[in-house]
Amino acid sequence: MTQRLLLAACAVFLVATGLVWGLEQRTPEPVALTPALTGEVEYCLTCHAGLAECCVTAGSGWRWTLTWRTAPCAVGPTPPT
Amino acid sequence: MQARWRYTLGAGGTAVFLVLVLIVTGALEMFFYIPTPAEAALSIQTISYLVPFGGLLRNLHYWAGQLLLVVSAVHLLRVVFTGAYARPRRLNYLLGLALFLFIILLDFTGYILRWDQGIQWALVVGTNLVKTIPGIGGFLYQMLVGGAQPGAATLIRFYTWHIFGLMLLAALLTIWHAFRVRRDGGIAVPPPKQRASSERISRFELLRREVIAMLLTGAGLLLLSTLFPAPIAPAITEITSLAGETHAPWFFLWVQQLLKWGDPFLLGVLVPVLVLVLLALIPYIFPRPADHELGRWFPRSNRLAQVVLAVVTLLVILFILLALGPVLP
Repeated sequence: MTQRLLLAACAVFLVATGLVWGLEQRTPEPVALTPALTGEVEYCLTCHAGLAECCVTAGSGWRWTLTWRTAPCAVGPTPPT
Repeated sequence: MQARWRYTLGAGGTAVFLVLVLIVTGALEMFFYIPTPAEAALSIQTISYLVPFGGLLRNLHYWAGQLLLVVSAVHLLRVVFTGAYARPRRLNYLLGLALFLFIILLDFTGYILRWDQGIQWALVVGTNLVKTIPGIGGFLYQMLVGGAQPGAATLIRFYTWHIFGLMLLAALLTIWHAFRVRRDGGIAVPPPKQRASSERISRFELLRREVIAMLLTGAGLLLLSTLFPAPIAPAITEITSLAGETHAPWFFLWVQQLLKWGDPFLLGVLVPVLVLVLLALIPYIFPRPADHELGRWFPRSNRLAQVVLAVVTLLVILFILLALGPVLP
């Protein structure tokens, strides 16, 4: 009985690991930019690829973040091109 | 057969597993974390967003810390609600309670290490509470903060307490606690003649059950860490202001609620200390559970201790909910 439970627990753990690995792989490659206005590196172009120059001063987002969920940005969603 | 999950809830083993997760993830975070006011929040953003698997690493550390606190509280409740604190386990009960306190302090110091606007309220209010202690408050504040107000000295002190001072003491206490479990005869059970069953599980079976608990906890931890990222906020710009979130970490929300009702020393320091003293005195002031009732939940012979702990627990939960009131939608 315990052995079956052990196997089931192993399976649950492996599925969770696979799921996490898959989600981690979806994290985009950072695209860095240093706007002349701020002089500090930011990664807005990782998501806002369509914008010529995006900076946190204009977008109010988080210059380090790489995902929509973690970048509360006033520019709004711009799907990567 | 008292090693059943429905009796122990697997809380002790799960807590040890979470401690191991915390040590490994914390050690890896140390390669990137910079404990200075100018760099701390930025280094956490670097870990979260730029280091490969850094976000997962930080989230695992965060959630393991929160779960450890919950699991330890469940462990404490289980011990009192089963009467397992009585002689010869009184010393081990106190060791466990001290460990619980250390876990709270480790969670709080770790929370402060973010050094972003999310922790500002807890940092300023928490350290100012120390000042209110009559006689030694000023001295303790200086020891804790390292100056007239929180700054670089404070951060390095919290960092050192988190990764060295508290960790070392907690590790020593954990080893002593585990050693005492064996020394005191394992899990609390009735004397041999009063046991309903003399059946005992083998070490291998116990290990199997612990591994199952670890695998399921690990799976839950991975999913939590992926779906619910650890809190993060913009770096602190002005330490004395109370910009950003104006609430304590969830495990101190009950103290925050108490502070709204009166004197900071009385309600913010004395009441929590009295709660701790009351918990520490449980094995000494309440009747010893009857031998034949050991090894089961809610023995009649220690009802009073159960009621006292239940009331304290419910009040703490109620105050947390009251403090969350304005935050909840």
